[in-house]
Amino acid sequence: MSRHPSNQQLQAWLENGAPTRVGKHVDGCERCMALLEELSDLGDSLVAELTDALAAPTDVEDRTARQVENRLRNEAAFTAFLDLFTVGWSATRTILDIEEDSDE
Amino acid sequence: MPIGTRVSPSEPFPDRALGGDGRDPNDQNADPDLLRHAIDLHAAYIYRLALSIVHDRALADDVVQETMIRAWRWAPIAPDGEVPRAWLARVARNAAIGILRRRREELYGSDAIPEKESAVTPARTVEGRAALDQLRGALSALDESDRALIVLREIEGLSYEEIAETMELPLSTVKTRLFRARQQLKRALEAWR
Repeated sequence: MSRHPSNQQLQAWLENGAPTRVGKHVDGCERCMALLEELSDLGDSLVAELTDALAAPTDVEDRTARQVENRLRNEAAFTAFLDLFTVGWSATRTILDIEEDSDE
Repeated sequence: MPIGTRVSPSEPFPDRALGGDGRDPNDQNADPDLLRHAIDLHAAYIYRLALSIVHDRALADDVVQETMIRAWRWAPIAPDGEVPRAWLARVARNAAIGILRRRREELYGSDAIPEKESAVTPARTVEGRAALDQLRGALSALDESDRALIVLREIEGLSYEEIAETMELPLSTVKTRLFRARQQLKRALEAWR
């Protein structure tokens, strides 16, 4: 498509992605891209509604800090627990190695 | 604060041993003050993005936790001493999608994973239902990536370049997908109202 598509064509493309030649044209056309941006603008009130709909709880920071702290503490405790076995196994192997050496 | 060049945020959560204080002893970024600072600065932002993708407040909480822990351990630090927002958004998006995928597998099994969250249909609208619920319903008609695009641009005000970095998409694709997603949202909302 060498000529710019009409606003109607751009609107139709926004709605259903057709005709595909419009999509190919706008991909490299700053003018049409700017028009698409304008045509699809949500408007201030819808953006404000959107912001409300996805609002974070007022205590999200404190709650996240607590949850992260708990999770890290649990992970650390689990690692320490695994270390107990690792240390125990290393000690056992050392003892066994010593016994094998003394048998020889 | 060191400028880190860490693992890609799209990589799976690495299984790394923690030190006794809960921090990765090999990680120079693992500064507890940085963690609290990042939480104060970005938790609400990450929560909104996560909620737009997972549509569940408890799951959004999980995404925020996961993102903050990853940021604490591996985030690159920008020259201004902050964790880059685009990096955080990418981590959050990947964490959200991962959590959703696991949830779907639990619900449907790995052989039958639907492409989208089951969208609430306009028929479920009851008289007097809050406008916010209608908007959430309209949002659910979009796919996860399109919801993320709208949130990053319309609510968080990221530039198209930052969104392209976050979503790992070409710039022109970001624009065309965003514009079509906005149109789809407007249409979906019309169906609800």
